[in-house]
Amino acid sequence: MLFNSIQFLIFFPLVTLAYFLLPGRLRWALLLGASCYFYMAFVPYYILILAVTIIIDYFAGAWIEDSTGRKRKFLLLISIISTCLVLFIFKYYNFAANNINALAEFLHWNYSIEALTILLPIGLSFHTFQSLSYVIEVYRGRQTAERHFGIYSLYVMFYPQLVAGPIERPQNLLHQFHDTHRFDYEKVRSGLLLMLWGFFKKAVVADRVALYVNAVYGNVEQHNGLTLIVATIFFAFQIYADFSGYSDIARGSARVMGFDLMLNFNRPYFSENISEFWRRWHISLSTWFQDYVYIPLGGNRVARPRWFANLMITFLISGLWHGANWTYIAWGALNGIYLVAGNLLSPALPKSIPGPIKVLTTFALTCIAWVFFRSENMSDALLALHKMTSDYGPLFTAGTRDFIHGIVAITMLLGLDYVSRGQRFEDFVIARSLASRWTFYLALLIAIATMGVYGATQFIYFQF
Amino acid sequence: MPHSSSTSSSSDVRRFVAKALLMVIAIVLVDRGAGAVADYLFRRTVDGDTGEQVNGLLASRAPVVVLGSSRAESHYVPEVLESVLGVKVFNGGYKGSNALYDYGVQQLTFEKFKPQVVLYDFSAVAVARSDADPFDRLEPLYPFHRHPAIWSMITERGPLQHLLFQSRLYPYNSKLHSLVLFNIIKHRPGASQGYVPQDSVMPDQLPGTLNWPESRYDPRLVTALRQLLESTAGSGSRAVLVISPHYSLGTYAIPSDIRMIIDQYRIPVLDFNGPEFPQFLDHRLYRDAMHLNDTGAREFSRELGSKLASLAVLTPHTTNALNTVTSNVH
Repeated sequence: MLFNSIQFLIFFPLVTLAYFLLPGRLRWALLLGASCYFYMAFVPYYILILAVTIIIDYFAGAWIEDSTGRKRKFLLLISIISTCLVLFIFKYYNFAANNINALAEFLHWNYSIEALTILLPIGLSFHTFQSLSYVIEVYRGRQTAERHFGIYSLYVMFYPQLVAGPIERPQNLLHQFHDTHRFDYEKVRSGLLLMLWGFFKKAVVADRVALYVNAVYGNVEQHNGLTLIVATIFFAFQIYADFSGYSDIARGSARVMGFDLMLNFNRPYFSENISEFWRRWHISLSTWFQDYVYIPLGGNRVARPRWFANLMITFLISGLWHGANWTYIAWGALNGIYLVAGNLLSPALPKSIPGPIKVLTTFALTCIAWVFFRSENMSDALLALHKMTSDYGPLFTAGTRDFIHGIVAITMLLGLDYVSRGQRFEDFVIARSLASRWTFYLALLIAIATMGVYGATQFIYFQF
Repeated sequence: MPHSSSTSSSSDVRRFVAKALLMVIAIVLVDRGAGAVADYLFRRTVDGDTGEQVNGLLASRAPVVVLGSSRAESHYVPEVLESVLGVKVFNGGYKGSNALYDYGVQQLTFEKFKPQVVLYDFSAVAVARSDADPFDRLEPLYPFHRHPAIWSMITERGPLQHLLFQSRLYPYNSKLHSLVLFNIIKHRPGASQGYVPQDSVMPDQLPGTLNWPESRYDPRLVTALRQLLESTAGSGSRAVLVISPHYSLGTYAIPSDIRMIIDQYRIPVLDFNGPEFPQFLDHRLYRDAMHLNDTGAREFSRELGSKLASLAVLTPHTTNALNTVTSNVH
């Protein structure tokens, strides 16, 4: 089920109402049932794949906790390999097969691997990482194994963050399923506000600018450099509004029921360098990679060449996590290069560079990387970059409507991000006077009704 | 044992319910108020980018009406057709439209007045299969959602559409900037009686090969087109199916459902593609391979006008009456 569908507008209040009406001991069952329904609204049988991951990691967690010595490590490895195998089969097998076949052909070997005709289950990468985080934390002794199978299943399947995160840690989320949340006016209000803000980002910003971006990136050859630059800037805001909008709806819908999910985006386009950008962008994934890949590799407490290698490895894996395509790997590699270059160059840079220049430079670098992320393939990405530096002509506007609405929407998003900097968005709004707050709520609703794009379009990160 | 994470508060529930009710009332009031303003602005328009052009068509009461997509919008020059036919012509073509939209416009038009002739520009895009929901193209007609034919098409998208249309503002989604703009500038640049000229010239290149089989059509759109032609011909107006020029060799295959209607109602089909029309294989007449520019559109309209005159599609009564009007204007 999509958050931006009418079905969800019915599902959410019904589930929330039932949640508060039921006695605490039954609520996990309600949420688990609702989460199954939510997930099965996409493709019902995908839930079996999710069930495999849940069963593996539930038993792995319990056995790891009950074991000692090398057996713990062995169980952890078995669990990680099994969970990753599911991800590999559905997400990377065909990519690997295609590349091996291409290599064999290049080397004139008579060898080929047959591709599988399977679709990637929605949100597989997200719940796989959430499951992995559980078994690793149990292994590290920072989380006790969850013995209640239903509650463990709910930890993996909790509908607000099931298909696109935030990727939670067991320490933050699991215990909340044991709590009995009472109806709390402040939480309900801030949760609903976050949801409203998320719907605005998705319907008014992301889906609106997507119309322009898709028209341009769907036909890179036909467009000039100026148009591609504008489309790339639009895409930067599309993906931000789309994904952070999803996270806001997820966090808001969980908060209404009393659950606190982690902040996933913190106004990333106001970052003054790439390192800061990655502390503000998809925070739940960045910290996952930091905790389970970068630091175990040695982080920055190693010799410089090794440190830089660690950064590159982490970002290459991050790129691959986003998708089985060389464009994502290139995107990850480019971000790794930015960080390495930033660390090498920062001592030589003057301290007096004004903040706005740093912000614009960081944004420009991010946009170059987004070219790879958005392009269908590497040749499109390289062609787009080539055109951006050489081929200028009149700007394609695809009809003024979507272009004007897109610019207005981006301006509203950036403006609100700017004025609310330094605090949580919902806190910023709630601190205003009654009249300002209500005017703001109504303005957002009017913007959604008049400028939103309807048609229940998917969120970009579902594919990951 | 479950434990409480926050204080139980029935006063919180009461407070929330009271505020929620107030919010609902505020939303309804704002929606009604802003919707009424949007409605007023929409009714004042006669041309625009997002559905306002339909008002111009409905006000025209023209005996000859053109329907179709962007090819119709930029191919049929009313003043040229009028000079040949001697009657008022209005171009109701709209870029990006499909047969569902065209059928909706035909229904709205016939409720307001009955044109003598409907020229339907048959284009593959109007009936082609695509990944997008064909019902999305009805959006420009949302302000007319109270019309039974439009409403029945909207509700085909699903029963939950009823919910969205409870809002008075929703029918004006994505239209506000256009409503304000066209209350000020009135017409699209260069537009006249619905015709929107295209100025650029496509580069010199060999014409492509147009090969469009029936299998690429969407049956829902073909049904809408069938209804459009059937309803036009069935109500006593003349329907004419026109395949205006492409910078290509070959033409479209007309769907068999449409062929049946053509045969049943003896609907003339005027195809301006192929070896009989070598003048339309000149790149200077085109903006791109699918669209004529203004020069091409005028050339095509003259050719079409004389074809229509030879077909005698207009009744003498109408021609005489409108000749008087036209001569008075001149």
